[in-house]
Amino acid sequence: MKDLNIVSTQATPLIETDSNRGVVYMEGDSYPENSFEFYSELVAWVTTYLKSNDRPMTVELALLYLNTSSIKVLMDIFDELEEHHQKGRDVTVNWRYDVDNERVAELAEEFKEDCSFAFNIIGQE
Amino acid sequence: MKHNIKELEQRVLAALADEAHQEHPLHDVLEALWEYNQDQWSRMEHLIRVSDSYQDMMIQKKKTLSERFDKHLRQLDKITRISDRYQTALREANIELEQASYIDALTGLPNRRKMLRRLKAEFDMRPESVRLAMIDIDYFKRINDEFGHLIGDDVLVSVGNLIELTVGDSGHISRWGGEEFLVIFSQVEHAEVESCLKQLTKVIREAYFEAGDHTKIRTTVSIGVSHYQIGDSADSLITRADDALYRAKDSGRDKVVFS
Repeated sequence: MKDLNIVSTQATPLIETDSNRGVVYMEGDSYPENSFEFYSELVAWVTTYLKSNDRPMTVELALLYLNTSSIKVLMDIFDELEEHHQKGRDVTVNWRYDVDNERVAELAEEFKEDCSFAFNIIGQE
Repeated sequence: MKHNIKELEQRVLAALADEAHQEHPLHDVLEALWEYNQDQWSRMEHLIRVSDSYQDMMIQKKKTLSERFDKHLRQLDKITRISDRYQTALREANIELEQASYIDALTGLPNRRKMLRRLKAEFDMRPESVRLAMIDIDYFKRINDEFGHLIGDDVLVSVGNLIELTVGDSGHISRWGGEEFLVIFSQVEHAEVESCLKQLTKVIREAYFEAGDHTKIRTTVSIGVSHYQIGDSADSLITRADDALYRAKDSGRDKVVFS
């Protein structure tokens, strides 16, 4: 399975995947001109990973600003994770934020609401 | 009805099976009718099965569609909420930045940007009542050189505070840049401006500024004042205040000069 290694830009986050450990890492701001196109590779990676095995999956996030279409993409991914979690898969999301930026935590809480898997919102100094 | 049908069927089957009726002229007709009837029944059952499975399919489809609809509705609701929060956060950050962009970080006074906006507003409304005072700390470079920039900054902050206190509600003060402050007097008579600024030179002259190690720094300010004249623009008003300030400097400092 081909892993992703997308460098960040001002408007797009860093995206890294590790199919051996089942980890997705994203960091930065997200307001691409076309979010659905930008995230198509990641969405495909997640779907393929979840279909190809039943190992645990972890999503590590350090996201700040998200535009509306990025929020939609992220919610779709969480929904997919939720579906697999309902079928018994071990799923974890760790959303890290700077303690000086409490708003990020509030937004992460909104995402967490509909997820029954482990969704940790972790403040960092 | 169903029961009667069953009974009738039994009777027909019995009649058809009875050896004694085999040669009866109605036997063949009854048998043909019986087969036709059986065939109709099986067609009917087949039809019902197909119809049922169609109904099942439609119910299933409706369920899937309504699940998808509910999911999208939930997502839309949530996206809207999250997006709104981002917009609120951005708007607030913008306001904070905008406010910060009008404040001089060192003295906390309005900065040049803010002052230019205020001046333009005053100038657009009632240019004839605008008076500008350009205030410069005398020999400020010496304070910096002798006591260092940190002490120099403290003196700047203190002088700023004293100007603010002395001018009070009569004018709007700003840090213009370096060791220069600009005050806009609007709708304040010449005599009042003059006494206010003379008082200011006295206040600064008599003030002691802490330099640590129990050392006290003393300083003075020079002030140039301009008043609107026909044909003035905001820029030319500033230039004339500047010119008056330089005349104050050239003629011995620690004084107020009117253009």
